[in-house]
Amino acid sequence: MTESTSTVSRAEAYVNVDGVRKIYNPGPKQVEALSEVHCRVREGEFVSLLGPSGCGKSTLLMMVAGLETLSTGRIDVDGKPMEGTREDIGLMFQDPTLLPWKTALENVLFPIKILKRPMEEYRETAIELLTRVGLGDFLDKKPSQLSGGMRQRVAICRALVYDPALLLMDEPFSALDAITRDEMNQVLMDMWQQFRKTGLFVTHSIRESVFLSDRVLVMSARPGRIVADVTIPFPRPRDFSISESQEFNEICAYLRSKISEQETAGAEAA
Amino acid sequence: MNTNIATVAELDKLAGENKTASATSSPSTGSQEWTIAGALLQSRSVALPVGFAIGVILLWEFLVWVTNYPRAILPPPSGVLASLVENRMLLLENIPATAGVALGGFLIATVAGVAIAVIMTWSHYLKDAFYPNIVAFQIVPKVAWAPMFVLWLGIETESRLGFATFISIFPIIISMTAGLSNTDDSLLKLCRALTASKWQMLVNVRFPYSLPYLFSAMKISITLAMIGVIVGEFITSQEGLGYVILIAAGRAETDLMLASVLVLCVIGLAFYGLVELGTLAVKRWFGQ
Repeated sequence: MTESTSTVSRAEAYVNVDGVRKIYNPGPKQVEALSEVHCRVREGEFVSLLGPSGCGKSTLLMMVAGLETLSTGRIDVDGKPMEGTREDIGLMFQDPTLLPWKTALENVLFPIKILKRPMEEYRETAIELLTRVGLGDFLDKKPSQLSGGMRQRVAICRALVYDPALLLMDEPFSALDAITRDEMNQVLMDMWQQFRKTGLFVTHSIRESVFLSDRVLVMSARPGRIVADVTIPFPRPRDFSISESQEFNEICAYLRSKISEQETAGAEAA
Repeated sequence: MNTNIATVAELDKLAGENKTASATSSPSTGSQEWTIAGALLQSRSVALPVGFAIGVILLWEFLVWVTNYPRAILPPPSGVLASLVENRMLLLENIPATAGVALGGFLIATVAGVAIAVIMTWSHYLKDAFYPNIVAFQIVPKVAWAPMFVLWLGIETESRLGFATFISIFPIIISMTAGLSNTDDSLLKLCRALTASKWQMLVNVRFPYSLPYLFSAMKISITLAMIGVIVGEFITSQEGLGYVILIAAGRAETDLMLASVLVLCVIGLAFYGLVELGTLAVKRWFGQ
């Protein structure tokens, strides 16, 4: 477990967030959602943004996706500044956000349709992805015929099908029950092992962030900023046995102390 | 010996018959149970309203007969039925004018209403300019406008078609605008992240998402289109069921008036049923 404010040099950063602030209603009644966030993510690295609700971690993620404007600072992805949305970025939300009238397979192919890529070329890829997450027999089922976990598996496949280099995930499993959530973490882990994207994962679950990530960035309560950068040392591929190790639990305890430190500081400030 | 064998064979046969009998009897009791349960359920959803309606009609018949009420004011149901049979050619001849214009107005209102809703959701400025006015206009009793349509479009079919369209377009515009702007926000974000154009979002997400809104508005709209046509026919027309009602009223042929109303009910129910079928198709498409 190592900690420092910037473990990644500018040169090796795939995602570079530099002095980003978000201010709502500029003026005397302004609300500062993010204050001076700096962070970097290497290519192929899986990084979690961990923090209490309302700390602006989702806002930060949407900024990286090009869906939210920056009040100050800049964000570069793959050496190019973010100016609006880009095809090389994939997104996952808390809800699976599937189209109810389309089958699992059609939903996975939805990005291909929007990106106007040749549908036939990606059909095989889509079927392969769905089979890999255990939905090979559910290609023609509509979302209403699938369980919550199955729908989120379809959403994972949809985010991967067009092969984006960067995958942004906004609490994708937080609406699922604990057992399904563990299952989904394993599925995501396996897919990650296979495809090796760069990943930015927003969560408020400490154990989830430690299990999945190469690094965990702890964010403070509003106005959000990054207060700890913790490297998770477990080798990949990982499975659930690591979550029973003493080291895993020590890291979790450390992250929890960092978050509660922030909460007390926030309470005193307020 | 021989008889013995025969007896065994017969016994076997009997047993076999018994088996088949029991095999067929058990599902039949099953289906009987199902029928009883089904009948109990249906007695509430079908038999009850139908029985109530029949009861009211019988009571009406009975009261008219007992009190010897003047037929010109309230004919008995049997009288209405007799008039329906007697005037069947007249009624049949006048169905196309009414049903055709109502359907035409409804279809124009649906297409135009959807187009207006799409245009309004395309730009915030257009929506801010139009939408409050449309809602305000919707509150005005639209029937009051009917004579204006005669003035503008003449006394032929055009004015009735125009008025049926006018009266039935508002639910479509309002409901469709709501449907188009109530699409799942995350899904639209996903589309934007995929660099989707406004048109792609409309065709692939917003429009299909608002189909349930459209169909519930169409149910109201088809009813209003019928009202529009009848009002139009009351004002000026030489054909249609509204015209028949007006002529029959002039001659105090109340049984013919009610027979026309009955035909209108059937047409209205048929149109409503068609829209309902569409609604069910959309529900199926949504996997519900």
